[in-house]
Amino acid sequence: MRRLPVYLLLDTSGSMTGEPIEAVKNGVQMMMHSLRQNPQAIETAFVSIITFDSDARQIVPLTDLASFQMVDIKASGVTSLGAALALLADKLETEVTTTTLEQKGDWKPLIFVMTDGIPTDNWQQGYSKLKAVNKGLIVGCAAGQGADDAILRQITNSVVRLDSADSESISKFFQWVTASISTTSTKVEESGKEVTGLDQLPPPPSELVIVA
Amino acid sequence: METILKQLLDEFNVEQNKVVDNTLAKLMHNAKINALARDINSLKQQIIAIFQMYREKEEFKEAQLVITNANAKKHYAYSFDLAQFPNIRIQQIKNLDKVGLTFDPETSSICGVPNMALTMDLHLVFINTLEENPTEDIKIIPFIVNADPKDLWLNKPSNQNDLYAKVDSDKYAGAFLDKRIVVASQRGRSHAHEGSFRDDHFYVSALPEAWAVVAVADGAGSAKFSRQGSKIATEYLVKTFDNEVLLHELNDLCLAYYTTAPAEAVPPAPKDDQPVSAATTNIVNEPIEEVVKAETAEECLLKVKSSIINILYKSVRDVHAKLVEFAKQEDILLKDLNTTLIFALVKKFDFGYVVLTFGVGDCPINVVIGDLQEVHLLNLLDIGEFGGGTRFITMPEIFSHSDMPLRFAINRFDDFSKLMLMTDGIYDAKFITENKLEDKERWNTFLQDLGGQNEDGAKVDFLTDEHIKDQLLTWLDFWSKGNHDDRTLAIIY
Repeated sequence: MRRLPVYLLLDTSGSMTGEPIEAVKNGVQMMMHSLRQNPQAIETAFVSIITFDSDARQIVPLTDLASFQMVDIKASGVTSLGAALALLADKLETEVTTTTLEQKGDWKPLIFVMTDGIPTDNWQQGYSKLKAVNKGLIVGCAAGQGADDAILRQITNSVVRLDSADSESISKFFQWVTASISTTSTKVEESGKEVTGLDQLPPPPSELVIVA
Repeated sequence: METILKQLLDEFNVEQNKVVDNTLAKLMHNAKINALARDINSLKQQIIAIFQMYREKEEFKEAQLVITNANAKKHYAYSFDLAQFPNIRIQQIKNLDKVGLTFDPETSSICGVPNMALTMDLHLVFINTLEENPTEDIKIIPFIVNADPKDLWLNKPSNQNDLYAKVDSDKYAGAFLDKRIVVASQRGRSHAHEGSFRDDHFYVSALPEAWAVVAVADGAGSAKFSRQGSKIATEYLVKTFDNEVLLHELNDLCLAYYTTAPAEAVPPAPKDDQPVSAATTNIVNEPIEEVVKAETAEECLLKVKSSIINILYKSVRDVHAKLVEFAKQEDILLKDLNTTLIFALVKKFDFGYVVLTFGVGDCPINVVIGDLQEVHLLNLLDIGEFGGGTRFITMPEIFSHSDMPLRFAINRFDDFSKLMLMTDGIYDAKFITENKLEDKERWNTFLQDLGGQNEDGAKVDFLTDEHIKDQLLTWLDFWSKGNHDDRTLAIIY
């Protein structure tokens, strides 16, 4: 059974306190609820959540939708994006199966990185570690005015921007992530082809501006 | 005792001096004071005990209690781990009966078979057992019952008024030389869910000169009109062989190929008047003559072989040309017709069955000899590192690629018990990887599966012809997580 690994890297730094962090929590819950109704996604998609603030943690390991349980998240600290990218690199190596003669490996992972700020650590170091192992599509999301999409654009060619980090915008972002996971799980199952760019994902809502 | 007195004096703002110290010293041994102090301590203990009791309840209420998700129609059991809350007892769980689950307060466990999918809040009614008159409190935890994936799939008929409409399933049974053939093709669940068309296709036909052919094609999921591509590929391929002259030539070539073994190959007749012929009798030259003979025989065989392959190649080339022409005529892109193609062209000779095969894409052709004494994969499969690396008959580059000759194979079998052609919808689910296609154990399981050893009890009975095509079509409906592609299976038996 070939899985579609989905990694969500979520910024939980202090600036996310209040409305944004609540919106992220709700967004994940709604996403899981909706994906569970999709027969292809429920069989194919596996989701992991990595949060980053002063440190990076994988709060949910790569888990199938049926067993997925959301863990409470709180906002505090700074923005260790580099640590999150490095942790993701480790997880891609240990959690994603590669194809061998004995087994068909997982589909290429789908990675969403959402941040509302500017990295406070050495993000290049984490990124170079990630670059060495990643085969999947990374979608960056710069949420709100404080986020720097220039750094995200150095990490991936697929970057979207949310003009505001309010609950409405964040909720729209998660709806789009949900639709993207649905589309990809259908696409890999039907055509055996993986998505390689934003153009193959569903069109984002108006709150989401494609910047790269 | 002293502490209590001192605390009390503090509380009542009694200053510290010698008189007070003397008074304290005297009271230390006063029986009444000692008794009262014990009472105070015991009352404090009682208060703190009540506090702890309430605190445990509040802590239980706040604790992140994660309860495993359930799945509709599947047995569910979950026991709460209350080790951290030794005095908490869950009396009952409200709302649980709504999904058909029950809670046993003695073991703090939930069990049963949930009857439907839903997301809801469970209301845990709990008490602290230390309380004299326990008061019930409620803790709310989210609970998820996942749907049975089978119930999430829709089965929407495809629109038969659409361009290149195709029926959602197809089946065929009949004679194939002196054997029988059964073929079934079923639209995949992923297509049924969307109401889109089956992209697989097959075609079987008896041919002149006692040949027979079966072709199977799997239209690419990513190609808009691949359903038509697979139809044209299979039907036109068969048509290219419906040619008496061609098949007659093929007869001769196969005869030559199999009756001219290298050792018996006839060397060019030596001419008597050639001076060289005298030299050939020379002992020194004998080995050379042997080499010349063998090479000639091999060359001869190679020539026959390449003539056979050339005939097959031409047919395949014609199929490609036909697809190009169709795309042009319909003003669509050639890649919109992307499809794989496999076929087996078979004839029974005195010396056995000759099975000529070709394959482009990831669909296997397998032959089973006897009671699984042997099983062979007859074609080259195109499989990419991360999947999706398949090739199509619509791709012009396959014809110029160096691996083109490897796509053809000439085989002879005294007899075989099954010759099977299948699309990846079958083999992905049943064989998983390419290297298992010659694994006898896997084949044994597969044949037993066809024989009814599966969870649905779907059986294909090769001994009676009457319902075999319906049986195979029903069998194709097997459930395999993550495998919902179109499925086509052709079996010559």
